[in-house]
Amino acid sequence: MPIETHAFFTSLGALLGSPMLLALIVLAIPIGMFFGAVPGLGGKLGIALLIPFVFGMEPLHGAVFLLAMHAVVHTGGSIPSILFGIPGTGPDAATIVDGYPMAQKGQAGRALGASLGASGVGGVIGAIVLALLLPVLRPVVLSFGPAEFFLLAILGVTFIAALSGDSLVKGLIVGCLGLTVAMVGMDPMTGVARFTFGQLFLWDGVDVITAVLALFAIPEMIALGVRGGSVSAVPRDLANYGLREVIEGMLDVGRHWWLTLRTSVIGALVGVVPGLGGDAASWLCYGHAVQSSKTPERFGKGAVEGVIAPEAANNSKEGGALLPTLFFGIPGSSGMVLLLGALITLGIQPGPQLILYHLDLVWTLIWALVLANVIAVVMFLAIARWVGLLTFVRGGLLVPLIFVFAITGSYLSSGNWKSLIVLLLFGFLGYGLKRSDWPRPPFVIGLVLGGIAEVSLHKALAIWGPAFLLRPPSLILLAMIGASILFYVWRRRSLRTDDGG
Amino acid sequence: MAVSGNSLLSAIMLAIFSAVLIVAVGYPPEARLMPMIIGLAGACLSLAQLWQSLAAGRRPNRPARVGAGAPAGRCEARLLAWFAGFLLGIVAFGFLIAAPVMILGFLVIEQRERAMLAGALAFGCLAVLYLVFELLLELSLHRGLVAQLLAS
Repeated sequence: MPIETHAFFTSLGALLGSPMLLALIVLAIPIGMFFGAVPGLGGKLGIALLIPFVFGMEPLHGAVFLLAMHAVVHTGGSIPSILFGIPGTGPDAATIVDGYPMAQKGQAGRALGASLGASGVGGVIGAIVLALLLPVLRPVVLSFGPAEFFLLAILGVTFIAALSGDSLVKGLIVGCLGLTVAMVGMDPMTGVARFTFGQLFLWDGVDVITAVLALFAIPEMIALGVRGGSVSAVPRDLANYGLREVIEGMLDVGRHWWLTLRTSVIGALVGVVPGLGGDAASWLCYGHAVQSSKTPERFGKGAVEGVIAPEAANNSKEGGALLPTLFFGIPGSSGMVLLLGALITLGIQPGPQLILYHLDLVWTLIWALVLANVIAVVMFLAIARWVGLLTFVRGGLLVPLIFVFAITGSYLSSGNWKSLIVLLLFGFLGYGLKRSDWPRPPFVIGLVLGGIAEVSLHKALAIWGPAFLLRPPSLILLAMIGASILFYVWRRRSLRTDDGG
Repeated sequence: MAVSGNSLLSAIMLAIFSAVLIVAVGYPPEARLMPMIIGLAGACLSLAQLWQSLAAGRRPNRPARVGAGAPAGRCEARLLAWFAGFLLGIVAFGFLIAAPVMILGFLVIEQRERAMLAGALAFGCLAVLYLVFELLLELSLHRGLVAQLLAS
């Protein structure tokens, strides 16, 4: 415990005492808000595109920069949701229900202030929940062996497959494809080159960043180019509001402190469950706000609690989602899938080693999460008058720039121009998946966890033989895999019943 | 009968997993274990999805797909071609030449933007590539196969 207390304080001291880290956080916040506020971009694309810019940085610097950027994406995402009824990112959709009616009633500033305050408080509480769970989780992580890590990898793919799209089968197919692509290169057991087609550059395997950029950045840009991707058709009058209104909205968060606290904790706990994601957190908390209100009839017509609840949950879930991402290598959300890939690229290998040997790094990331959310509030207040203009950026102007930076990221990540051919092929595949509504996150999780799964399977078979599946921890994990499939089936049936009745 | 995107993707996935199984047979037992497990699972799931997609396609009165019209399809094809163009241009001529030229071309030809704005964005991109990556981060960007050919 004294070691943990030491890491707790030294990491805060290191963060506050490093002008470089503070500057990176301050730089990351407007970038994150930009990716959140421009409809069609989002945090996943933000991480994918910023990866080339963190090459050459120290791992800690790069990780803090990407995490701070990702932490405030939803703070920016609430801007178009409230002002124009257009969600900047998927999880911001719940904010529209009451945020947009507030803007129509001339309370745009108050709604934005409430959103900002709730986002800030939610982000800080999410980090606190993560910090509180750390000592509880440590013995659990350390008791895991190869059998558990193999099954955790399968659980990760199943979770993400079950929860990231409308079809479990499609998700599992894409997850299997990711696992297959992870096997490209030298076999870790025998040294045989597998699926390399005689190409030397494939001996090291398919570059994760190239795959991430191809599957997320390229399809999103093509989709953005097709639909236009700006809210410029909406009258700009709605974006007019004053600083006093924004502060009034922030005070609303204090007036509803109990709701803010509850929804922040719920959001963080939802974030801990891999794959549930921001949509589940924000809608769950919105529903909770309605159910626990004495005047539920006000919701949907511009109730400020309807803005506070989803926004607090949106930001707090990022703290919770870091937990499985950092310690099990299983991303807690689709954004964390990309953050996981980025951390590996930076030389930070998520998993039990992190909690054993790099606790200072974990604490620095937690503090960075807290600081980013606090600084975002201050920065937003400073630029409150102009922040609405972010949503008028035209998609057409961004498409070629993002093409170039995606190609740059892929080239720098692999150091070989031939990997650009992989980017092209996977880019087409990614667009095909997007167009046909097949989920893409399972591919990345399969690719990231494939190597760990294969090595762990061989080790488990060597130690226990096939009986490793009958060990008590394995049985628990198998039950969790079964439960995630049953949860999917139950959810589908509920949706069908709702549609029918 | 028109082939839906779902059926086509399922068929592609089935082909990929079948190829994985065929190729994996030639590897040593330890090296083929995981590819065989994943390939088999993937092939079975793809077959199930293909069967389901084809069955759904034969069902009468299915709702028409929204947003899959010919103009959107043409636009998609153009954007995919532009992406391939960006990539091939950079492979051939390198980042510092191809990136600004392609940005200028895309904005003027595809987006019908003013040449001044397009030029400013192209120049901005060149400045970021050179100042941030080459000078600040000291990362060497690809110079292009044509330049390598000329140098040799």
